[in-house]
Amino acid sequence: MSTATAPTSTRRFVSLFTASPLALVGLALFILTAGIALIGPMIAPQNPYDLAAINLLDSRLSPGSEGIDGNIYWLGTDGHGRDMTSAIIYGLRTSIMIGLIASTIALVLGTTLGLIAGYARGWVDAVIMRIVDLQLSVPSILIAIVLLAVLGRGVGNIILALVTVQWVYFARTVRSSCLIEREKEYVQAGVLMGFSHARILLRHILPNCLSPVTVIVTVEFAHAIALEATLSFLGVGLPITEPSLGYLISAGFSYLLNGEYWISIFPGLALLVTVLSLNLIADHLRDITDPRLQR
Amino acid sequence: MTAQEPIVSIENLTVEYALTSGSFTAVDNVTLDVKPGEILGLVGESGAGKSTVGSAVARLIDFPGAITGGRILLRNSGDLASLNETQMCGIRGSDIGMIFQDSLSALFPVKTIGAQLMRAIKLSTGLTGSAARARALKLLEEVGIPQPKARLRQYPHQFSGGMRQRIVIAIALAGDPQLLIADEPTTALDVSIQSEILGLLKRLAVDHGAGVILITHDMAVIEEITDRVAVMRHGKLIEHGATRDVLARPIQDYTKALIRAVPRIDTRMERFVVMDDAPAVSPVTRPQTSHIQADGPAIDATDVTISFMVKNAILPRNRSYIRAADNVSLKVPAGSSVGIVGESGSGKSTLARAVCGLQSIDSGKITLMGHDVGALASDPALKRERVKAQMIFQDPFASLDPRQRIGSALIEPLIVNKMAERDEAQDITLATLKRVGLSEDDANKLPHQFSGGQRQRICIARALVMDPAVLICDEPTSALDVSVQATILNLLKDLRDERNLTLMFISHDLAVIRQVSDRVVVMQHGKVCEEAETDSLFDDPQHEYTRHLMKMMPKFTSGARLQTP
Repeated sequence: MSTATAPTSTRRFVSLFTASPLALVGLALFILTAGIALIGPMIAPQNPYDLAAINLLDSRLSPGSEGIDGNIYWLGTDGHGRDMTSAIIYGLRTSIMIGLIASTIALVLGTTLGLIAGYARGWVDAVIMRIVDLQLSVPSILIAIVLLAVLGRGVGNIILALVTVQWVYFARTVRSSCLIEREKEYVQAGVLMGFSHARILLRHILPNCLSPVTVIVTVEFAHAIALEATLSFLGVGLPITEPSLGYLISAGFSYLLNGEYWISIFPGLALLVTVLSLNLIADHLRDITDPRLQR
Repeated sequence: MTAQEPIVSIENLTVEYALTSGSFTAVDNVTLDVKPGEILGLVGESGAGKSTVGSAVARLIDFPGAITGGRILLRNSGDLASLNETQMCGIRGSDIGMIFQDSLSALFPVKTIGAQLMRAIKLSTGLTGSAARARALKLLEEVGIPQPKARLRQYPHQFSGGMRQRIVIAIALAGDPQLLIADEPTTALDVSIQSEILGLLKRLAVDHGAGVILITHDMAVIEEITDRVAVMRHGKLIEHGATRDVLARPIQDYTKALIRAVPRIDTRMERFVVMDDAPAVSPVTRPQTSHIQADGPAIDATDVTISFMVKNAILPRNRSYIRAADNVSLKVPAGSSVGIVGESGSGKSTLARAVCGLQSIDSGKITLMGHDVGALASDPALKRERVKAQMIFQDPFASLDPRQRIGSALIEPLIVNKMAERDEAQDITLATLKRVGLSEDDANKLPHQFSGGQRQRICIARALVMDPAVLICDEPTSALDVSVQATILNLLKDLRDERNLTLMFISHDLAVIRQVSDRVVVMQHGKVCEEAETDSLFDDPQHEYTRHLMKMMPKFTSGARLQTP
């Protein structure tokens, strides 16, 4: 396995990663979208949340047209007269933030439960893994919709729904790595040297279980963004006051048949680029962390 | 025999592997030939390129490796190195048969052995139906499978390791090949099965007039059945000749060292002669005191029984168990060393794990230095006593945390057990690393930067920093090359003398056991067959099983003739 901690293997990891042009394209695209999201308020021509800045007379202008104030809307405007460029930048911000927070919490929660299940085994393992099985047998979108229908909309609730859906993937992977690692002789040597279970688990087993997790966290980050967009599109996600990419797509959906494509298509493209870039990175990460493909 | 045309002539064979940084020459300009009815032994340590030669002859070298030079002339087939893949398919199986180390993965698990054997027969000879079946039966009979008719309908998992290896040999013989390539065919097998398989190979070579290339790391196997031997090192052929001559009068220093490093079963050596480029171990000052103390036993096991459930069921009476240890009693006086020997499944490792508290016992009692093992594991007050028993494991690649630097791995137990402050722990660590033959710089490295032998030294160092009273070694050298094994065994001997260690040494190798133990315990099916002083056990074995083990063990006598001090 490639170990990301050693200086030699870090260099190896970098050289393996940069060997794939597709993964580099993915990385570049992601840095671009994340960068735009990060400094969004500084570069956006307009604050789409500021009702004073929006002019209803400018609604549904096509890309490149000039508004009544004389400013040009490069990506057009939506039904409320909002500048699409700014709306997409702010929407991207919301989407990436929610995806990042949700997948991070899912990572921590899932890894913890997976480690406990794999190390304790017995009934603890049985209980945790049956919950995982139960959840995996129901489509994740369904679980998220039911949860949001009960809890209501809001940023906190959608993060909760995403974490609920996603922790199982981390738990399952970490448990299987943990089951392999705990049988290795360095763990038994640790027991003989008087190490506590917590020390063995956190200092020795955990670092050796993390390689596959790096792949999953990238994939699940992309999933979280896509799932949040789906939920918002369906109208159970974020409220209108905090438009994410999904909401923008859904808002423009009704105008699509009028030929006013830009309200849906441009946020859709932004979503596509973000998710695609993450998937390109994850795909390549999976290749280089797969021991069968090691040279 | 000299007039006969060789079955295969390997001329100036070179195999290279393309790496990201240049290329690596695995086989460098090797020239060899095999005559009909002859067994050629290819011997060398890991990384010597001996398996690569075997694979190259069958053209099984895969990308990124490639044959970059030389010819492989097979009788009646021309140069194999120039054939394409389709032509090679016709030769593998019918002209060349291969036997691998792992018989389980060499057989297809979901087809009966009859189906596999008859398919091999059909592909190589064109026989089908009842003719193929008759030939399959004949082959199974020939390799010594009892009741071949019933066995044809069975699946690979229904056979033992030795039986599976016989089936692999039968499949390799399906096309009546001129050449058999056997790559470590007996390494995974117990000694008694090993001797049967080697006998079979010898008989086949003579009966069929086939040439055999036998690849092995084991000098005793070479001496027992090969006619000629080729010694390889770092991809080069360094010595080549009739087995008797090479073993009796080796020319190269490496060959001499290789022969001397083999542990001898017939006598106990003070130290092993190690190779010139083996890591130097700092010299030892021998203690004046005798290492045997009259303090009572360090390890005292009484009527220990350990069972594993092999079939679970809701009703207890439907469950079935196997007994890994059955009423085992064992006393090891402080400062002495006991060797535990037995074949796979004899329960020797389970006993070792139980002694240090890694395995719970069903009944009986084990005390370590006067404390009950169960209490040692659970009572926090006895924690300092508990760490006085340390273990060295078989697999040096799994016994170190791959992400922890060596220095940190040695310091951590000292800090955790409050045995030293950080500075002091640092000093102890560096001193211990030096003691086992490593340098101070090695403390900053990660485990993957070391070879197997070095890792085993690190494991020994990690055990030593705890200042143990009892050291349990579970097959510590069976994953290592003989020359490395010799240095590790020397190190363990010296440490035992220096530190008055009580040693419990588990091995399947009688010769190794003879070198390291004062007393020997022979185990079979979880029971102790015989326990005696080492010399008296080896010179005059009482139990039938002990005699059987000694008889089956390939004896390496050439070492004796070379043992001039």
